[in-house]
Amino acid sequence: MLQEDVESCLLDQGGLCIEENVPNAHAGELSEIQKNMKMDIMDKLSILSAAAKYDVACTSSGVERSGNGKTMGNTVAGGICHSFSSDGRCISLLKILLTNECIYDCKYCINRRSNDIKRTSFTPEEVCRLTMEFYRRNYIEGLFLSSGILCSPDHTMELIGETIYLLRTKYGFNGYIHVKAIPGASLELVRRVGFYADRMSVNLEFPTAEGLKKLAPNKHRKNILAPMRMIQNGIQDNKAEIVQYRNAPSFVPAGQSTQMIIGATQETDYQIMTIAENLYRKFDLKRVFYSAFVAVNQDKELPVLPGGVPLLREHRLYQADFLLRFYGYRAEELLDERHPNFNAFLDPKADWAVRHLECFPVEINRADYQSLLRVPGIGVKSAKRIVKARRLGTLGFDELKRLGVVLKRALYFITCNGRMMYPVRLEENYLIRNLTEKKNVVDEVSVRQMSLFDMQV
Amino acid sequence: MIVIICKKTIEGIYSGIYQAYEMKCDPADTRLALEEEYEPELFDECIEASTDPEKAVKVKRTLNREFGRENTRYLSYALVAGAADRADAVYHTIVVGLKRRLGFRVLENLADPYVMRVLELKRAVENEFLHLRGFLRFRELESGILYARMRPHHYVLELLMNHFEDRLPGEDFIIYDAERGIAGVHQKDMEIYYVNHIGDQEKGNTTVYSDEELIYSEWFRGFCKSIAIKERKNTDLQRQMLPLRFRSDMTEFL
Repeated sequence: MLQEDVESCLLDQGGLCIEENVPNAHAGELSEIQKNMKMDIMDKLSILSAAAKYDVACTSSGVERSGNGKTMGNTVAGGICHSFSSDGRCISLLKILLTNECIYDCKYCINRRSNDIKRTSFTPEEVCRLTMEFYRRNYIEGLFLSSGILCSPDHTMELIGETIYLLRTKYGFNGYIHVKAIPGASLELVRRVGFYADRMSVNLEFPTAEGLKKLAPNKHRKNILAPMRMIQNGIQDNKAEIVQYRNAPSFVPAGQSTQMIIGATQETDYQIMTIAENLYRKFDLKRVFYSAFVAVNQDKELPVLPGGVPLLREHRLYQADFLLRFYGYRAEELLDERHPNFNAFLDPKADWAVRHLECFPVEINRADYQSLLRVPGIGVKSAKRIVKARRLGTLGFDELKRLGVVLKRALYFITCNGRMMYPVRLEENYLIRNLTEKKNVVDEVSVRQMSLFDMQV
Repeated sequence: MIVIICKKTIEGIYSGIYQAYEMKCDPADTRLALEEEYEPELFDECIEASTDPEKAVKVKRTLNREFGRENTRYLSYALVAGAADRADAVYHTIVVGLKRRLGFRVLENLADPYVMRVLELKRAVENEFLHLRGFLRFRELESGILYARMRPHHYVLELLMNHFEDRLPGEDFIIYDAERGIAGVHQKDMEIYYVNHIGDQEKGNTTVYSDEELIYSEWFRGFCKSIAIKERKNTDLQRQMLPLRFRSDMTEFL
């Protein structure tokens, strides 16, 4: 297939570039064995990292662990981004597959059984060496290990377990480790791996069971939810245990996450947000990641997206996800059956605000924290700053600006000491027009010149 | 206007603040300036403050007692910023904090322009530290020592040294601040120490990297390429997250 050709071309190019970049003088100095090892691992690294790139979760956050004074590594609660690739995504962990050999035939996946691509595997020792040497040079924050399904889910989970056991014990690595729990692997295996990992994740793949059935025929919803539940219970038990015994080994201390592919199946944003909300509430997930569907295979079951990768939709989902987690919104506030998808022109928070004008304007010097959070242009940080700062003096618009409030958006929804910044009307159409137009000044009259092209609607 | 001119170090600035209180200066008519960065103005009455470790310790003790350790730490973050007005902003923040007896809430007084400035500086220093914590790259020299070079706006070297001491306890490493000509040195099982007044090493181009270093840097460069999704290419976003000024010292952009 054309797509595959392009992909294998890519891989070849990757190999070629690297050969060219090595200056000949240095190549001469290396021993024959070193050279072989070098090319071998280089190939594997480019294949297995390219195969892992569609996994979104590259965070290194959630756990604070200082160094032990002997071996390498610590972790920082906020996580650390070490680099950014040309798609603007952060490189925080060494994100690789253990192998891209896979017995499954998921329609959307580059590594599916029926694809004719170069297959290769790392040995656990190779993964450990790479991680240690990359970490030492401050390239990465730790390891993100996933894998194709080799032979069986159990076998794969064992291989992953063996790798991180080696990394933690023989190599004494104390940095961040994120591993995938393989759906269908025995829960006992998953549990054992959890004692060496910082974060675990099981990919939900698709928001609904129907989507999963259609596009990932070898995976079952219950095999995905079972390890998720097991990890959740494990974390809770472990917390109680650590209270009793301070030195009890910690189990997945940075929590678990999951990801769904957006745009390959027919779900609405409302369905997706409801599922995300349930995952946060009922499974105590730390994060749900959304991955805009990239068509790497051609298959009759897969949609053709004329607009390309649905990046805007993904962006809106992330915005709404933050509203759920930090702003106290509920999914059914943001969307409902009659209004099931996010607005392309307004972010979900502004969209909510213009539909709930009865809550505005908010008086900065008196409103409670929750109402401040609901103002477009005021985030968690600036809301906290406002609450602190107004104890020591009243706030005006100049102060707000210095506190980090985005007045461009906020000015329509707030008053300072009973006054608005400009005379504005709290009226839906007027607000939508001003919030979507990229300009700072408010046209006081708010009458628009009619245009011929308006008639085309 | 009385201008107290102090040395650029934290000790020097604390001594200057001590002097301002000792001389019972009127804060509204007093300014703290830094040596070398001071530009004389008409009607300025200059006083040179001597750096005295004892005075500096006294000031620090007072700050710890009055404002708490955390706020004192934030003030010292502001004092390692690269801006010329850092000493003055911190001085006036302290004055307001003591006068209004704000105690632990000294930095919550955000309506005050000096407090705001201190927080701005603190944020800038913190941000650069957080950036470099990720973007700093070590390269292994022939001798096995890890060497990193950077050109930060602010004096974040000590913060970075503490971070990496905890992270890489078994390694010998050097972080070199090319902007200020200072290097921090960490040796296994030894205290960190700093070396001042070093010329730029890169000029002579004498750094010799180990064979392994060449291999691993190639691998990492390859990894950074293969991990990117070409359908999502967005170099503007990349530039926003990873400003160009850091890249000249980063392995993957060499």
